Amino acid sequence: MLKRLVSLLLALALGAGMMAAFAEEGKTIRMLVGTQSFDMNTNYVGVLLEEITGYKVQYDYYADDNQLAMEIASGTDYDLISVSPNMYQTLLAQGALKNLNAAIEAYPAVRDAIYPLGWTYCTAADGGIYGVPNVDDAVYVGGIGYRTDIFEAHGYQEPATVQEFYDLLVAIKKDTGLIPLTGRNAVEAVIASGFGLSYDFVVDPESDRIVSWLRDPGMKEYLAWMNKVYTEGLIDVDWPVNANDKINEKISSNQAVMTFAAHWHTLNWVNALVESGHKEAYFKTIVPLEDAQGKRHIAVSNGISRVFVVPVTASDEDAVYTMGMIASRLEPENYWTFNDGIEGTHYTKGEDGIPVPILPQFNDDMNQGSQYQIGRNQYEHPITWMARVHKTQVQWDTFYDANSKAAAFGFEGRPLTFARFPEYTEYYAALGTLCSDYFMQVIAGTETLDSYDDFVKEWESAGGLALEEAATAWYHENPELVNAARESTSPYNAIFGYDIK
Amino acid sequence: MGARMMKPGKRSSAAFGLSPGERALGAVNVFLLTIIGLMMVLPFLNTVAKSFSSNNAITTGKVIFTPVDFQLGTYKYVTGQSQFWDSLRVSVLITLLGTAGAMTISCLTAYPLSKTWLYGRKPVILFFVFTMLFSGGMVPNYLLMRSLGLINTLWVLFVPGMLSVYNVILLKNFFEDIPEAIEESAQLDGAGNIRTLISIVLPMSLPALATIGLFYAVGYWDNYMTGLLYITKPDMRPLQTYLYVIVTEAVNVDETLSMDALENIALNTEAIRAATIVLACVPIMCVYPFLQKYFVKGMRVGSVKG
Repeated sequence: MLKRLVSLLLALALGAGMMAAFAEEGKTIRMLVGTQSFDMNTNYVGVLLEEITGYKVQYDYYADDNQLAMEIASGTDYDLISVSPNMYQTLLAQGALKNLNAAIEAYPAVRDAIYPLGWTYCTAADGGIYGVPNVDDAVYVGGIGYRTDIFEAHGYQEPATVQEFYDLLVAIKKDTGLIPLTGRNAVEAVIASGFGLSYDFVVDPESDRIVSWLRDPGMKEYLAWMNKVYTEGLIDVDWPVNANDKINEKISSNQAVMTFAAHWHTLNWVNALVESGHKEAYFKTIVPLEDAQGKRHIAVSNGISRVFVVPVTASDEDAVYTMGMIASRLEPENYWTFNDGIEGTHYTKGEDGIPVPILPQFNDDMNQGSQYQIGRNQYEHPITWMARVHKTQVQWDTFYDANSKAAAFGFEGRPLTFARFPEYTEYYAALGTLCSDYFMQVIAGTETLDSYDDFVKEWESAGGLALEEAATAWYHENPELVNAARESTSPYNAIFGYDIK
Repeated sequence: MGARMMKPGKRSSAAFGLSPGERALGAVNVFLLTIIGLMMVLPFLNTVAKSFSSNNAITTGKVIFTPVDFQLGTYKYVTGQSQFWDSLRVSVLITLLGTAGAMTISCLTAYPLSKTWLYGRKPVILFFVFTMLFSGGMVPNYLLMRSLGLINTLWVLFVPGMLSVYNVILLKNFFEDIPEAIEESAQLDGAGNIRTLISIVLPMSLPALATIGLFYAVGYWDNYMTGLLYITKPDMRPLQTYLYVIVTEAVNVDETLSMDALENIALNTEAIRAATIVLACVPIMCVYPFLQKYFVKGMRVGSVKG
């Protein structure tokens, strides 16, 4: 009995091994992407793409940048690899990437479909383009979400200034006994705007240099203010130790009234609140407050999210063939099909041309559609993406409310969005942690602002000064990248009526 | 046992013949071990409870150790994912094959090394032990697997791990404890080395084999690193690698500002993760009760030398 079982198992194993070893060969583009929890080869969208474009793509996954580096170092035979912007710069410096100028020349549609800014980012010092970028549109992600039912019951208005916001916190605490504001960010953008702060590195108009927000006197004022409201119990006492699930819990179980909210948050909150008896519970958004000059600093999320590269070992013909596949995905009709599905089956178009998903079909089939983007069609992407924020009315309302309000004030782009110099890779993340740790200590009162100047010195020697120097040098060499980032207009103008100042 | 031997006069209140100091020590031990035990069990209970609870109950933080608003939708969702079944198949296959292969190799290695008369035994053992202390590291291993053509094959998931020196030494010590006379009597009856091993030594070593078999099986089942490093084919990932991806993906989702709206409006992503974890634990947990009776005995493998 046991013997039979063992021999059966061995036979099985042998069979499985052989199957794996003799995988079928053909004109297949082999693509290596960051790992996913689903199988891109068998997913509905993967199959659909092969049908509509005719290109056969086989997707393999890599776990992290270390594994990717080993794959590339050991002479990989992939045709196309999806990498992070940082990894793109690293591989470019190592000479591991293939120059794509000729391939793009063969398919000019690829060049035309993607933002020129993305191409600028991917162009190396030798004038060669070594990657196809995914450019994220400038979009306002979200502000401080508040419970409209509570606001209406007590007659509160959306605050516009820091003082009004403070009065609101006091009133909520007094009238409801709930936590007025919960959160976990050392720098809460909506409030920081009231002190003239937007990004961690900005262009100082006087010196025309890129400097840290530590240099802005507004930072000290902001920290003092946060410490004050923390000490007075106007914001969550757990602010320094909160995690996302704790914040979700406090909001959705009616313990707190306001927190950072984006469209992917509010649905769960509203459902839970309605079920527990708060029938009128709903959320709207407070956008960044006015600073002393009456200016609001609306920070947006944009930049390069992925870069698609061809290993230097690939042949010219293969690179051209691969570019053909990319072109097929950027072609408008195909772009719609693999992002949003088939009209009538997965989505319907409203009169304004904005797609609304048909559920559950859209979720069942198209949920992973965006994972198949290789480069984004700048003309089609903003509109196709609307289907993804329109899965429910609650989500759409949150998105629309935040964006239409922010639209009234115009955007401020992040100067370092397209940063590509070694100091950025080396210091940026660590400096960010250093700052938020210190800020949090000041907010919680375990550190006082007397130590601020010492902290700035510590920050400078930890790479802050080097980063400012390098960023300024990079800015003066590439003013177009910085200016483009700062002035990046949103493609959602048409939808939300943005007026960029 | 030792306590009964000493100071018999001071046992007046001790029901089990323990001095007050020993009783206090016992109480502290029980207390500490209970706490440690709870620290292990409670997070798992919480995971099980979440996997059966509704989205709203989890979001509002009502779920602690028992399910709230019992539902099975998450399990339906997890078992509806083809990736789950692909990975489960891979994991079962490599665990069975790997354990069988590892046991064979370990026995065949440990048995000769348990014979003191074997020529060159000491240096060979030294070589084995050397690899316990020093290894080439991740990158050379990766290059080796690649040059052996094992990348993206099922083989890479169990063949390189088939010999654990630690287990071989355990087994060797256990074999050494088997009286030489028994083996000699078998040889007098005409049994060769292989026959002696299969018919005499192995049946006498069942506790050791069960323990080490379990070590190997759990090792294979729980290993996610190999799948992460050497497998790039989505349908060839072991279950634990799949689990690792799901969990890390979920952790990152809020940080990277995923621009997509919620995917499964009726299900909670945390519950889906929990259900996958529970389902991944069940198969290996089913093996334990059957090996339990050998386990306690087997843990002493090779520890007492006569």
